[in-house]
Amino acid sequence: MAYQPVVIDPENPLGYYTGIYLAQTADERVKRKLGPDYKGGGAVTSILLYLVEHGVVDAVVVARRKKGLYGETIIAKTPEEILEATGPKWSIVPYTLGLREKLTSMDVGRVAFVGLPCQAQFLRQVKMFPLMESDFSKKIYLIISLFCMGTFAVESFLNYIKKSYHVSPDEIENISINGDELVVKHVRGEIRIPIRDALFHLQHGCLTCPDYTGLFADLSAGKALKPGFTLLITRTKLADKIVREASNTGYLKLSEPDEESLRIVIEKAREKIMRSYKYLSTVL
Amino acid sequence: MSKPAILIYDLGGCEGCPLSIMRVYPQLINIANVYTKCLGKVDLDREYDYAVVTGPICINSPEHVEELKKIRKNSRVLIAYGSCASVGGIILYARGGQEPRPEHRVYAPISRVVRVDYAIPGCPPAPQMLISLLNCIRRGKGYFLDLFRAVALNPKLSGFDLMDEVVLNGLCVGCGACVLSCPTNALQMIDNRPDLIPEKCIRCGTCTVRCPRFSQILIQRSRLLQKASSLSRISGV
Amino acid sequence: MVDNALTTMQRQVLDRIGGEAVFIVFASNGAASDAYFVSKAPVRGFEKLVRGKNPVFVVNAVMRICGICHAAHGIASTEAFEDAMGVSPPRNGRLLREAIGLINRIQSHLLHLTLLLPDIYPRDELLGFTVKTIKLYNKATELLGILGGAPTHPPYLVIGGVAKTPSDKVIVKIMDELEKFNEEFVALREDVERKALESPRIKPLLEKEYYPEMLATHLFYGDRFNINPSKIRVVRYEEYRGGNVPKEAEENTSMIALYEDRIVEVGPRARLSIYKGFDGKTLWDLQLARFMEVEIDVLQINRLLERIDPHDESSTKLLTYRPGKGLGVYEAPRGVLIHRVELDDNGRVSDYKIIVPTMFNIPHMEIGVKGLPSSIADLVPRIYDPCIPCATHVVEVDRNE
Repeated sequence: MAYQPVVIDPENPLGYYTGIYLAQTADERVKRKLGPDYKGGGAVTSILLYLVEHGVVDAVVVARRKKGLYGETIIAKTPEEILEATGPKWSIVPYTLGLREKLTSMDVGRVAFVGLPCQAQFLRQVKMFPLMESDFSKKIYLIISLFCMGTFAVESFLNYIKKSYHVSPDEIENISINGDELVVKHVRGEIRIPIRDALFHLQHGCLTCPDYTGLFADLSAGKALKPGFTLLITRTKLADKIVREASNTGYLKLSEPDEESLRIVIEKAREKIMRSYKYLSTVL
Repeated sequence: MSKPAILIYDLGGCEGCPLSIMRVYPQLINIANVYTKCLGKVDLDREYDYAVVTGPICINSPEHVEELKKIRKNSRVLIAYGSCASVGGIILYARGGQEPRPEHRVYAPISRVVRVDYAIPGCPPAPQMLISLLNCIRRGKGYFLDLFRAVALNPKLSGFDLMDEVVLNGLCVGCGACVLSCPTNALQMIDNRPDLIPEKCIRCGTCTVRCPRFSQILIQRSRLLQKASSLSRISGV
Repeated sequence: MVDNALTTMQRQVLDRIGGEAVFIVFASNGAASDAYFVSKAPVRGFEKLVRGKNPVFVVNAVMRICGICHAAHGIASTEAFEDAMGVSPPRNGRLLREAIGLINRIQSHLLHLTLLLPDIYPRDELLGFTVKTIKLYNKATELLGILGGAPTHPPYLVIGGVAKTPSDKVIVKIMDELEKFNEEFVALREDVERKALESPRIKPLLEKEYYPEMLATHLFYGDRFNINPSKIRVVRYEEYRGGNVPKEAEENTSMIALYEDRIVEVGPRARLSIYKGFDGKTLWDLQLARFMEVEIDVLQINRLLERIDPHDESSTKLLTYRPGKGLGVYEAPRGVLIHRVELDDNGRVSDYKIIVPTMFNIPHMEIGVKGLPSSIADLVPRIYDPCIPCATHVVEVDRNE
C-alpha cells in the first residue's frame, strides 16, 4: 500500500511526505479570477482545473463561499464551477447527507475532495477503513487539505465585526489575509483586523485539533510566506505525480520551497500540536 | 512467509458481520488462511493468528462466555468486529425475559469479558474494512490503529455519547463527518451543528470514531487508562 | 426401535448454516431414526427490547434481528406499523418495497448456495465455484445497496413506504445489472444441478421423498389476508416433542410454530407449490425451488421497476402516532414471516410479536432426516436453510386472539 500511516508527533510536525513545492498558478483564468491584489498562489484551483480538464477525475467536491463567511459544499464538474469556488475559506462548510446522496446517485467515478484537515481525516478514514457499507470509499480519488489554524465561530466573529467596526454581515464582500491582518472588504470600503484580535472567535473544537497541514490528506496546500505562492506538501506518490503533471501541462509553476516558508509552516504545525495538547488536557 | 490463520466467529449476533466479511472472501484468501463456520468446520482449540469475533456476548450464557475466553486464549490478536462486538450496538437495549431463555438478560461488547486488541464499530462494517485492517496491523502503527485500540478500552460509544462528549461539550467544529457516518440517518445538521434524532440511533458507534474530536479524545483517554493500569500494577493495587 | 439393531447417537455442531445449532441424530444400523435440532444462539429478545419504543426505532431495530433476511424483517415490521397507524405507502413505495424484498431473497438464496457448495463440489473444484458464487452474491448485494440505501439492514425501508425514489438512470442501470446477473446465474445453476447428480452426498436427497403440508401467503410479497394468525400456535421445543428429549435439547433457544396445531412447511417450495404448481417431492427439490425462485424473482423485479414513476413520491410523509393494532405478513426468503404490533396511547409499542419461518421448518428437518444415512444427516437441516438468528426471538402467541 502506498499510504503511510499517520503519526501525530511534535518532533515531526509535517508528518510523512514525499515532496514539498513552492507553487504558483500558470493559468490565466485563475490569475484573472484572483486579481492582482491576491497574495495566495491559486495552486489548488489550478490543480483542480488540471484534474477535471484532463479527465483524471470526474468531479471535485469543494466549498464555495456564498456570502461573507458562509459557504456551501458543491460538486463541481466544469472549470467554471471550480473557478467560482476559488479563494481562501474562513469557516468550515459541513458535509451533509445531501453530499452522500448526490455522490452516490451521480454518475461520477473518481472524485477529488478539497477540505480542511478535519475533513481530510474523515475522508481518509472513509477511504481506508469503510465502517459503513454505504460509504463512498471507491469514489475518493484524491484528498486535498488546506492548511488550517482553526475556523471561526461564524456568528461570534460577525457580531464582533459589527460591534467593533460597524460592518453588518450583509455588507461583507470578501475577507482575505495580509500579513498579520485580516482584510475585510465591504460595500463601503475595507477594514483591517489584527489576527490576534480575531483568534478569540475561533471555534473551541479547533483549539484541541493538532492538525495544521492536513496530515491525512494526499496533498496539503497553504499560503507560502512569499506573496503569490502556494506551499504544496505531497504525501503520496499519486499526489506527487498529479502535481508534476499539472506543472508539465502548464497549469502550475513549481519551484523549490524557500527555507523561511518551510520554517514557518513547521513552526505553525508544531504550535497547533502543542496548543491541542494544552486544551485537550482540560476536556478529557 | 506462510499466511496467517484467521478465525471468523459469531457469538450470537445477527450474522450480518460474518456475511459482510464473506463478500471479500475472494481477496481474503490471498492474504490469510480463513476459518469460518460459513465455509466449514472450525476448531476453537487450535491457535490462530487473528480471531475476528462478531456479535455481542451474552453475559448470562456461560457457554458463550467460555467460548469467548477460549478464543482469546488461542488467538494472538483478537478483533471485536462490528458494532455489537465492539460497542454493544442495538443489543444493549436487550432486557431479557423472553422465552424460551428468559435468563438471557444482559448483552455487552466482548471487551467487557476479555482483552480485545482492536474494536471496529459499524453495522456492519463494509467488507473492505477487514482487509485494510489486517494490512495495517501488519505495519503496526498509525493513528487509526491507535483509534481502534482505544475503542477496545472504551466501548461506551453511541450517538448519545457523541452528543454528550463533543457537541454539547462545545468541541464540535461542524465538519459533518458524523452526519455522513450514520447508517440510520439519525444525525442531521442544524445550524452547522449535528443534532441527534434519538429514536433513530441504534448505538452502533460509527459516528464517534469518525468524529475527529471524539477519536482524538478516545486515543488520549486510552493512553491515560493504560498508564493508570500500569501504575496500579507497579504499586500492586 | 428394532431390538437388536445397533442404535447410536451422534451430536453434530452444524456448520454452514445461518447461526449456531446442534443436530442430535439417533441412528440404527447407520440410518437416522430420530433427530433433535437444537438452536444454541442466545436469545436476544427483540420482542421485549422494542417495548415502549418509538415505531421508527423499532423498524431499525428489528432489521437487526438478522443479517441475512434484514429487509424481510424491515418489510414485515413496516407493514405491521402501517396497519396499526392506518397509513399505506404510495404506489411507488409498494413497488420499491417489493423489489427490495426480492433482492434480499435472491441475496439469501445465493448465500445459502455458497454454504451448500462443499456438499456438491469435489474439493479441487470447490474454491473456484465458491468464489464465483460469492461474486454473484456481491452483485445482488450491490443492487440492494442502490435501492435500499445499504446492502445490509437497508435504511430506506421506512414506515409509509421507501425513503428514496431511484432516478430513471438508476432504474435502467439496475435492469442492465439484473440482466447480466441472470445470465451468470443461469450458467451457475446449470452447473450446480449437473454436479449435484454426481455428488455422493447429495444423492440420498435426490431419492428421499418428503413433502409435508405447505403454507404460503403470496408468491412474491406476503398477504395478511391469506393467513389466519390466530391459528398459529407457538410452543416450547420440549412441549412440541412431548417432553422426553435429550438433556441438551431442553436448552433449545428456539421455539416451534404450528398452524392449526399441525406442522407445515414454509419457504420457497411452499410458495412455488401453492402459486406455481411446483410438485417436487424430494428433499433436493427444496434447492431446485430456490433456484426457480431466483429466476422468477429477477423477472418480477424487472416488472416492478418498469412501473416505478421516478418523479413520484415513494413514501407517505404524514405519520400520525396513535393507538392501534397491526399485522404484517411477509414472505421472507425462508417462508412466511409475521410481525404483530400493538401501540399505546402515545403511539409507542406496547406489545410486539414475531413469528419466523424457521420455527415452522424445524420439525421437518427432524422428520425429513429419518431413514437417511446418518453420515449425511447434517445435510437435511442445511437443505432447509434454517436461520437461527431469527429463530431465537419469539414468545408464545396468545391463542385467544
